[in-house]
Amino acid sequence: MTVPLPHVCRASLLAWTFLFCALAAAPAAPSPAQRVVSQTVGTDELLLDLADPAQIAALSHLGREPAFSQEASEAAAYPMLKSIDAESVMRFRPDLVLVASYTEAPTLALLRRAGVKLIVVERFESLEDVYANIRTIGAALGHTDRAEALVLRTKQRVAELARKLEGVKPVRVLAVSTYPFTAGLHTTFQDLCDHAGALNVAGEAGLVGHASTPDEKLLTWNPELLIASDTEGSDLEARLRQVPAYRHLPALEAGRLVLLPGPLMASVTHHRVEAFEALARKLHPERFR
Amino acid sequence: MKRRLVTWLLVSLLPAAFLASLALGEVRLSLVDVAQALRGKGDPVAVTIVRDFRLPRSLIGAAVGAALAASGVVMQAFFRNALASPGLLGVSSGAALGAVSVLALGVGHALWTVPLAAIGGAFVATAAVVVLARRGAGTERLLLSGVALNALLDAGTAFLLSTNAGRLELSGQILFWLMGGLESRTAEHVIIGIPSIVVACVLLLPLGRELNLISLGEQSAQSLGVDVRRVRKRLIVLSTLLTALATSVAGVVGFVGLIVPHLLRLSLGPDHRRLLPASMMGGAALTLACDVATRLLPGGLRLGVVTALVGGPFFLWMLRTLA
Repeated sequence: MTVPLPHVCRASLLAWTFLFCALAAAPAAPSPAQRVVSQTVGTDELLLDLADPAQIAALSHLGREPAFSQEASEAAAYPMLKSIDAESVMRFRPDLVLVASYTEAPTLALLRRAGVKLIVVERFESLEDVYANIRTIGAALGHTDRAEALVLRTKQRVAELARKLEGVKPVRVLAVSTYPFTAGLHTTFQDLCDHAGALNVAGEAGLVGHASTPDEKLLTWNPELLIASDTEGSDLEARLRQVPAYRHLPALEAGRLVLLPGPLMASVTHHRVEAFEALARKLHPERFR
Repeated sequence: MKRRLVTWLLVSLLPAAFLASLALGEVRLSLVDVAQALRGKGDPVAVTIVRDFRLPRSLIGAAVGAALAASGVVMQAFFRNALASPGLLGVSSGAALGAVSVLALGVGHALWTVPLAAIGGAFVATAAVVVLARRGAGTERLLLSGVALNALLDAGTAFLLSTNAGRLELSGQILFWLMGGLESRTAEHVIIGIPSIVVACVLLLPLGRELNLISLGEQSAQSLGVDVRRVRKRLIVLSTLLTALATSVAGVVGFVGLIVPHLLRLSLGPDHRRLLPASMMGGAALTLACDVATRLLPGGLRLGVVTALVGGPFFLWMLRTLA
């Protein structure tokens, strides 16, 4: 004999059954990537700082170059991609590939069709972009705790630097190179200036991105100090004097040129905070005594 | 005897180059691995590499080489000039401007956009050439128009390159495209390039006799019963179409269309009925071999660089011989 269940019990049973089924069917958190290949120097640095060594299958072909990477010596312990094409990546049988937005569309398509998960790093101009990239990659590696810790450490250093530089008069600076290009708004150099107590005169003049240095206008921008990468060589000042665009700048005539480590100047990761500190020390040494 | 030897050489070189293109690369695979992978069996990574990466690359390499060499044969016969090459009328430059424009506009991230824009650019250049041909421009005027069109289109490409020189990644992409290459070719490139190249080659092959007569001079061809105006138009359209399609899927690849017809003319003679199919096979084999070299040689060489390294010295030798 079956005993009919009261309506309330039946409804409760149905609800619990539904909940159980829903929980069982809910997508499980994606399992952490086990073999990761990085195709850019920036993602190399993030991978080295966030992953277990066993999770790193290969790093980018420029990852071991001290002129480009802040972690070149650490990268030397891992296999390296020979080129940027899809076969070079697939050779390492990755389950996750870290690429940048500028990776060519056919390469991305081939990797996706090969069933490999991709993380495409789209933005890296600002610190907020860097934090987002750290969190995305940390989550894919199963190390959200390390990612949050790295973000926190970086934020603390940035805040500490901001505190030291509070109230300073920004120094008017210009990014220079023997290749006559400078950096304006929406560049990592602009971000560097914004955090190191500097005013990027190219950005102030409305120049966007990396653009050729305007010879004539440059004289009206009146930079107090010129900033360049140390990868340009120790005789850079003499060579800059041969570039017509810079020759007549009072800052160069007075030898006011600061060299920063190349990988730091171009850093698209949390290492850029080291560039902020290095430049701030040069521009405002009184705040670091 | 010599002709038969060269024919046999071509017949064996092309499949050999195709097999090498499937088997050689950064990942070492034996011919057995390749055969298994083509059937979808064995190591899944090898299957992906052979079927999804190397097969489209090899098919496109063969088609591009055949197209450029065939176009070169037509140009040299048409202009009766040993130094004529597929890009002579501005088609490659048109394709380059089309491709560089979408890259510079930032819409080159979609898979179809760059090759389709290259075809668009090439067709605009082709249309200009066809209009000139229709207006009855003589060979010399057509040639000079090609020089002017090339200069104009190259100026457009140089303008876009110089205005974007500060965007390093984009500049790199543009320069890579301008140097030609077959890496990371996909099924989409196969769909865009190969059927049309095959059709154009099939339509070109029966025109060997007409090419023979036209290479004697237009008046001689006319007096021997060739409808010169109609044949001229057909030759120009097919030749420019082949160059446009090849450039759209592989970028600007130089010298194949110049040296292959000359090399084969030296051994097979000037009869275009033989020279056309032989050049198609030779161009395909040479392009595949050069592409294999880009994978094996250190330094990340581009296909256009390797073909130029092979073709440049040959070109100089030819100039010296012709002088």
